Amino acid sequence: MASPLEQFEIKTIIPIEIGGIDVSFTNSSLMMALTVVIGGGLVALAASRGAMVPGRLQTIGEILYEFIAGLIRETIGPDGRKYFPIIFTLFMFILVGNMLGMIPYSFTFTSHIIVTFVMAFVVFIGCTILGFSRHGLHFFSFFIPPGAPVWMWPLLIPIEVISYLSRPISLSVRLFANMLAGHTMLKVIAGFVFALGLLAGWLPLLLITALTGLEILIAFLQAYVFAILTCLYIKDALELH
Amino acid sequence: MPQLDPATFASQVFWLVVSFVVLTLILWRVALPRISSTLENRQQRIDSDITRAEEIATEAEGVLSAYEEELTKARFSAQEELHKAAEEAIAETETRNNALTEKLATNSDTAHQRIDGARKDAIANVSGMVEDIARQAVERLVETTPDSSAVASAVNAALGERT
Repeated sequence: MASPLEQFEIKTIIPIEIGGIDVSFTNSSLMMALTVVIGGGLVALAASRGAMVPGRLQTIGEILYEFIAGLIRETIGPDGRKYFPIIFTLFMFILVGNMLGMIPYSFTFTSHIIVTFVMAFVVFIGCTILGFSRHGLHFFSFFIPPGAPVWMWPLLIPIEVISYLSRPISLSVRLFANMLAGHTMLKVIAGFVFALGLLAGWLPLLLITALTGLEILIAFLQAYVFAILTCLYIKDALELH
Repeated sequence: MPQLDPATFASQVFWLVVSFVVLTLILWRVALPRISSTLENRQQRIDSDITRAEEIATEAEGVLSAYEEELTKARFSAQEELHKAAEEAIAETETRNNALTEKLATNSDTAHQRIDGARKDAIANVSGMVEDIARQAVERLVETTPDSSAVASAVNAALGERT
């Protein structure tokens, strides 16, 4: 029987090489492209009518819009308006990617650490640049907890710096590990269904059905968590404390 | 574990950047501004509808209070009218009553006068007859003719006692 990790294998569909670097169009790239088409298409289509009384699709688009707008309003405040498009895109990209990954035999590109790490790292670098451009060198005061006595600084500042630097790691690993664990678990339990056969196979089948529901919830939740943490990091960069 | 194979990293990052940028452009440039303007238009429409509804409600309230004022006024004037009519009726009754009483009084006065006249006439007639009777009675009883003036005064005295 195939390994539960087999589903994460990258398979080249169209081999492409630019400047000696392999940038082949793979199953991962295909899912990303599908994410763009479905995610972008859904929202664009929902936006296209612009009716005073929205239909079903338009309502979905407006709910997504209001959801992210509310998230930004609550975490960053009114200053967060200009970061709305990028946070909305992040959310949609991860959400649709995770959801498409729930389809059997498809591929979950968010289950690859390199993908989640690049996204988290871009968020991290972006927030750091934002912090320096807002506050200049004063941004370093972010690493001094407010109200802490001076003699504690030698201890607190390294802790704060490490915690700040580990942000992209925690942000990327959280999404990657959730996807990896969830899909691996589904695959392992699916293997039990076949191993136990007709006699007792229905038991893991019930379990896998319930877990699929849970995984769909996690697929949404992780996209939400990624978006809300990005908002919090932007808020930290804007307000320092 | 396929996740740890660095050979696939370049391709994944490349396509991640490409697809993410494309999605960003679609959402940022096309989809989101439209949703935003739709939501704004709807909010404006709702706001203006609410303002208009409030205006109409105030107007209706004004009309209602004006109507109530009119109604009170009309009630008041109706009462006044009623009062006046009642007073007029009373006054007219009184004048008519008075007129009737007066008329009755004059009628009874003239009647009294007529009765008095009739009685005097009757008494006058009676005194003539009584004088004759008295004279004849005297002639038969004492066989003398009494002085007519003495008879008249005696009769008058007797009659005067009656009246």
